[in-house]
Amino acid sequence: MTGALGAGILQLAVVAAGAPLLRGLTRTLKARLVGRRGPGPLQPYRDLGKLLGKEAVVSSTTSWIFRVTPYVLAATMLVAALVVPVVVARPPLGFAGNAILLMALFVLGTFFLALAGLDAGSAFGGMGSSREVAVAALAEPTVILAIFALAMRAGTIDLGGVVERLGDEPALALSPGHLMAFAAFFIVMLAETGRLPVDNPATHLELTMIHEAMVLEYSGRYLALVEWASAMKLFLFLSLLANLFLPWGVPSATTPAALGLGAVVLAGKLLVLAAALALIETTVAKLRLFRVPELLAGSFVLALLSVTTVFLLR
Amino acid sequence: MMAVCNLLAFLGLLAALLVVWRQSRPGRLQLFVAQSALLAALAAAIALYSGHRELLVVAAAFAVVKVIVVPRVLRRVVVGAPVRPVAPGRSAGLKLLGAGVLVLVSYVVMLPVTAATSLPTAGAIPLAFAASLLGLFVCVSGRDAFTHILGFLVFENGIFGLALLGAYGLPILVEAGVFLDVLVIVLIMEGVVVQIRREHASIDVDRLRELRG
Repeated sequence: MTGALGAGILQLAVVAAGAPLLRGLTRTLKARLVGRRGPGPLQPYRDLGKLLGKEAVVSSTTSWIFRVTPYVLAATMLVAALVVPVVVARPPLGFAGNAILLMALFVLGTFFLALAGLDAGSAFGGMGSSREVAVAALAEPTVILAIFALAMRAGTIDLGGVVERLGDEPALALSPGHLMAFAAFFIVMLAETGRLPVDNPATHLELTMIHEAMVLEYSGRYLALVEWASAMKLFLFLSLLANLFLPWGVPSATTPAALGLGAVVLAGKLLVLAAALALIETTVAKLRLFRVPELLAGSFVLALLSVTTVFLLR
Repeated sequence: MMAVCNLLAFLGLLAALLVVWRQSRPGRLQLFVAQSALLAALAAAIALYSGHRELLVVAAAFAVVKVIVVPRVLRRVVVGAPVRPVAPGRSAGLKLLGAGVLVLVSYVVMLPVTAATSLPTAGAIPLAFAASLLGLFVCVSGRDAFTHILGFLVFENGIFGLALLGAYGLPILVEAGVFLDVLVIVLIMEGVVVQIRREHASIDVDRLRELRG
């Protein structure tokens, strides 16, 4: 029991403290790839520290939703950190069906953020919210389908069970159906976390932005919380991707040695994925908004194929 | 071995799907080059695994023809072609759905085949078949001459992959003949397309019905 509790605390600490580092690392890699020096990977921590020290300006026309949203975002991500197998296969909330809880947590955050974008009544916020909701409505079914495809192959809908089953049989991870689910999940990850072909995380160009438009009204500690939460979302999606599709070296035991090994393996996998993300972001241009649904339809088709091949190849 | 075959064949299929989705001509040409390189790697991997040394020669010839020569010829078609204006309302969503159905169909059709063979490559056979069907689909649904050529080439790539996975490659004489055929076909098509463009100032199939005096 103490082992499980320790694993839970470790997961929380890794996600909460590691998320800004992962984001900074991606930015640094991206800068290096285009020949800039760029800020160091620790820059997001400095940004967060600076924002925490600043005064928060809140528009007088906003309601309680605007003030509550940053806390809801951070809280949902921290609870999600107890659901996702990050450093250990069976986190404290590792019960059967937790994949659905995870999706509900992500959608809850998105829902509140969209409401907060509308709350201030600015044109940009509304635009960003409507785009975010459109993207989320197309992306969520694909996430669910891709995870179900894996769950059906592994014979359990518990995320930890899927990771353990795949860890026992690594050959499963390179079957065509699994690869289709991986491609689908990767595309959806780009959409959900606001990465490049769908949303550009580096600009404030009003015609193209989605996430930045919604959080335009936030400042001070509220903005710090929102940024931290979105960094945690990226971290959680990438570790989900790492552990579901490269399922090697995720410990089931909660001894200190196993947890340490799990953390090291996770760091390696995340480094690879962050490099892949940076490479994609430097080579791909942002899609026109009306082509985003096509991309998401493509990923949905891949996820659907992945599910159907489970039945065909039985 | 199974894993390598699955991975390479799957990436090949993904390239074919992206050819269906993308609109820019140079982008699709690059995808075709990537797919050809993947298939050459697949041929080399199967050669090393199965001990069929002559497959290495086939892989090298395939790489030369499909990764270097054919793209160079096609690039001449692409560079001279007028940039197509972005067509509104011509969404790739339905096409992608159709492509998904084709992949499913190829799984269903290839079910008896994969059940009958005990080859380690059996799992990837439906993927190669699906890639060839997608090539045919691109060829049929394309609106301009370049897309027709590209669809035909993807179709041909899929058949090459199918032969590799299903029978560890055809005899070297047959492969050589096929490569030569493809090369000649592409060269002739290039000539025809350049001629069409000179006549019509466009390679859009819809405009070929217009008479020019």
